[in-house]
Amino acid sequence: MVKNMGEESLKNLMKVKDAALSCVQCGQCRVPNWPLKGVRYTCPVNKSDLSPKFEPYYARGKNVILKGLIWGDLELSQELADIVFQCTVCGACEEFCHNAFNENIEFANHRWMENVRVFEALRADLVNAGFGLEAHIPMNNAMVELLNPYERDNKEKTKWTDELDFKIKNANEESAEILYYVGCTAALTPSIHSVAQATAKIFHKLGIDFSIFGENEVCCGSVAMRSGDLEAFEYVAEKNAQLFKEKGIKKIVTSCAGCFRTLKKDYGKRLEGIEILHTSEFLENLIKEKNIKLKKLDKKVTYHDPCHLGRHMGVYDAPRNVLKEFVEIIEMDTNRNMAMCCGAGGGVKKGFPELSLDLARNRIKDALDTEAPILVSTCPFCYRNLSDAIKDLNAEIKMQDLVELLLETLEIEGSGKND
Amino acid sequence: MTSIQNVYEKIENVVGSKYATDSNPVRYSYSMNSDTVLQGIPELVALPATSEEISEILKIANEFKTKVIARGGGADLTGGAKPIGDGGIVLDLTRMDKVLDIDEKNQIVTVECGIAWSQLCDILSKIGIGYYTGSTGPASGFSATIGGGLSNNSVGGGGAAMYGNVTEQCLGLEVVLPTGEIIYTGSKANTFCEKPFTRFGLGPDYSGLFLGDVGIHGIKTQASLKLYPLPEYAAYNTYEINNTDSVQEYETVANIMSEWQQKKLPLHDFFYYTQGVTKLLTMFQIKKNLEKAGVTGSVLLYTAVAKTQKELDLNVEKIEKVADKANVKQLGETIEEGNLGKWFYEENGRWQWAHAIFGMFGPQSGQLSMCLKCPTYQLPEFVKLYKDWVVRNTKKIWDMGGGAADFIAFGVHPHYIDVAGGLGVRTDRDKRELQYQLWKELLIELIKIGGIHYWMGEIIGHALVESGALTEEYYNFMVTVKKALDPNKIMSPGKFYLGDKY
Repeated sequence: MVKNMGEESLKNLMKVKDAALSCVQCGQCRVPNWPLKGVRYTCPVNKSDLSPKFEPYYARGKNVILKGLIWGDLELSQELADIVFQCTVCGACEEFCHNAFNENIEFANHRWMENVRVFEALRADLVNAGFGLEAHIPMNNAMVELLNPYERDNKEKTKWTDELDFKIKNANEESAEILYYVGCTAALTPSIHSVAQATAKIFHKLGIDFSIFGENEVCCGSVAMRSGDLEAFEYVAEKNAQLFKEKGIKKIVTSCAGCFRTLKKDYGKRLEGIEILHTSEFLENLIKEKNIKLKKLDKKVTYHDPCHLGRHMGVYDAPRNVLKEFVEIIEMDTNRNMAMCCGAGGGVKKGFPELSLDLARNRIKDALDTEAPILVSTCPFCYRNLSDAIKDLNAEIKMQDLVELLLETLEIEGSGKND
Repeated sequence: MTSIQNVYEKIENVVGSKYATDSNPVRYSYSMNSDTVLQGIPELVALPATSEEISEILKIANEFKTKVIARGGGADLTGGAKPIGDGGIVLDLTRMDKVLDIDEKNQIVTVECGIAWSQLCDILSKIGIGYYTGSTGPASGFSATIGGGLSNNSVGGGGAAMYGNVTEQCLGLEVVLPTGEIIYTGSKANTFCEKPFTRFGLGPDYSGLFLGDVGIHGIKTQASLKLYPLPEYAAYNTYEINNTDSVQEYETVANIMSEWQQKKLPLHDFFYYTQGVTKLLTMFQIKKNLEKAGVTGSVLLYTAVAKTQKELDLNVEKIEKVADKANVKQLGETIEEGNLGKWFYEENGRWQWAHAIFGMFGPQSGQLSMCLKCPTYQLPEFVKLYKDWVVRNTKKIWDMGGGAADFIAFGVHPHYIDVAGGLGVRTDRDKRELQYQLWKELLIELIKIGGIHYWMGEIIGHALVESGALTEEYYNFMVTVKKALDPNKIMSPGKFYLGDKY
């Protein structure tokens, strides 16, 4: 056990001290508390039957612990890390907190709390003190050594392009209007190659001038940031910033919500001057600007808001606006800022796979309640975890990314033309 | 092996290793409720799933003379949901959150006491014609549990003017006594009686022993509550009271509220916001609307409900006639026109008005609560006390880092009001002693003019006893009852101050 030694061992936490001391312990983050607004659950971990359900397994308990750490009553420990990392850092607790920094709360003068930032700061201090999760170490080491967290040869990042019947510009060698930043999950998970392929095919069909870095694409660092390894994060962030600068990148589009959040928010000023868009935003703009008409598919879908796109970045309308052009959306009981997390984020998938799967099962049950045969998301990481849960539950619902579905309509003759 | 290690192993055998812990951070997380001034760290925490498990735990606690503290949603503001002093076992009851029976025919719901008010009302709203519990929990937290609400005589989370305290909705309980026996109160005490439909008829009302007891008499594990159909029609209005900050204003408000109550008008809720609280509200989402409506003073708002539009219209006419007579300014009907009543019930929809004050002074700020009940006519007296007290104690408040004392008053069925007041302050840890003293001083002054506190917790118990409010005979009676129920003093010791006699 490492003694806190005040501000030194809590270096990151002390940067957000005010927020860390602002919880009034009312417990709003524990239970469904706003039935009139359709809010029935807040913390996905607390909802899971696999959670021990003690106080620190949702936001309030963690916030009391933060006070204990800052006041010197508690010390950083592995015991604490094992609790703190059982959180997807999805931010739902912040959404319903009267004291949070949040546009959606009614008591706008009480914007003190920042659970996501504070919990991530605590994770960083735990990792610095040697209390990171064992399961995260190889992932973050691989990110630095192999430039992807999946411990794979980065050359495999181009495999998904093998099946394409057109060539994509290599950003290392030629310039293009936009950089398609594929992200490690879509590039390195064969079952999700389809997301990258569909994105590329759409761009190709719509005549977008785009490039990829392929085997030179460096992980954005999201998993390191979320799991508290700031050193690994800084390494890849710098490497990416340098690469983008060297290659004169002006506009990045990514179909991964995690990469989007990391590049646009966590990189801060590093990418100043570069426009960063999620695919859904890019496509929404494109459809609008070029007045693209899409043939309707006779399909009903339900849409899962990835936390990193929705709550963390406020992008709720873009994917819906694109979908509305060609399919019918049936919303789940919890959606937009109130959407339940898929369970994959915050290092939970790697650190606590069973818990992560259980959270995804709960989300699939939400989707099944809509009776829509298709579940759409806009994040390969959500895609992966939700697909695992569909398989586990043997559920009759198909997982698709927005781009896969959009490609279906674009492949219909006459669809995708300008009006 | 120490005594507590023995206890831990035995409790682990009862609830399973997943639901018992002596982990440092977990124990610490149970050391506070919605205030940081009072803090006590338990030695163990367990999450039982059944009354039988609780019974076993209490038998173990008696064997080892270890204190046990039951905890529901942990939303208490006066030390009711955490240990008084360090040590003991906290039983977190939130796993016991099942709805056991919804009896639409007799309009009764029976639940495990760890379910939250919001969870229960959400479930009930989807049953049949749609129901709720009338009085829907405390205003301090919709996340509070049924058990916590019943232990604290909670009120204010909606429906108070029509249905009163949540304890008044109780038709019977299952309780695990401090010595581990499980009993039913109310009609279910008759083992041949199928339904828990009344509290009365089997001798004294023993449910009452456990209602508002802040957990010192036993652990409530099941409760049967009255059900009411959700109101079909509702109307809302908001008035600005323009005689800002004067005795006349408080008398005007007290008179309107009294007349509404005397005439038995179907008001679901009515609230009076002092000028100070209204000013705070103007910082909120509704700010622009109130500003546009030119509101500078305090406001009075109401909600009326009815089964038909015609009935509602007739009642609204009567309600408004009372207010009009008092010459107060009615704001427009829409939220945009400043109808705070409508906003609260349609937009906000969760009666969490108290939370507006909790975090007001930034990091480490909190609410030192002193909510009480008093006859409606006494409103001006309580306003005066608050105002005078603040003037006398301004320096002390600022020595603590700043703060304010103010309140909201709301109607409680049938004829009284709840003066939901508090001291909103920065509760920095190094000034806890000063905070505690100041808090207790104000509580004692309020008690001395007849305020009836309902949450107990450590500090209010102390203030009640130290103020000399209780006769020796009453106090002795409380001690006798407590001794009979809890001979080994294991059940929530210190939650009510019983001094040397216990």
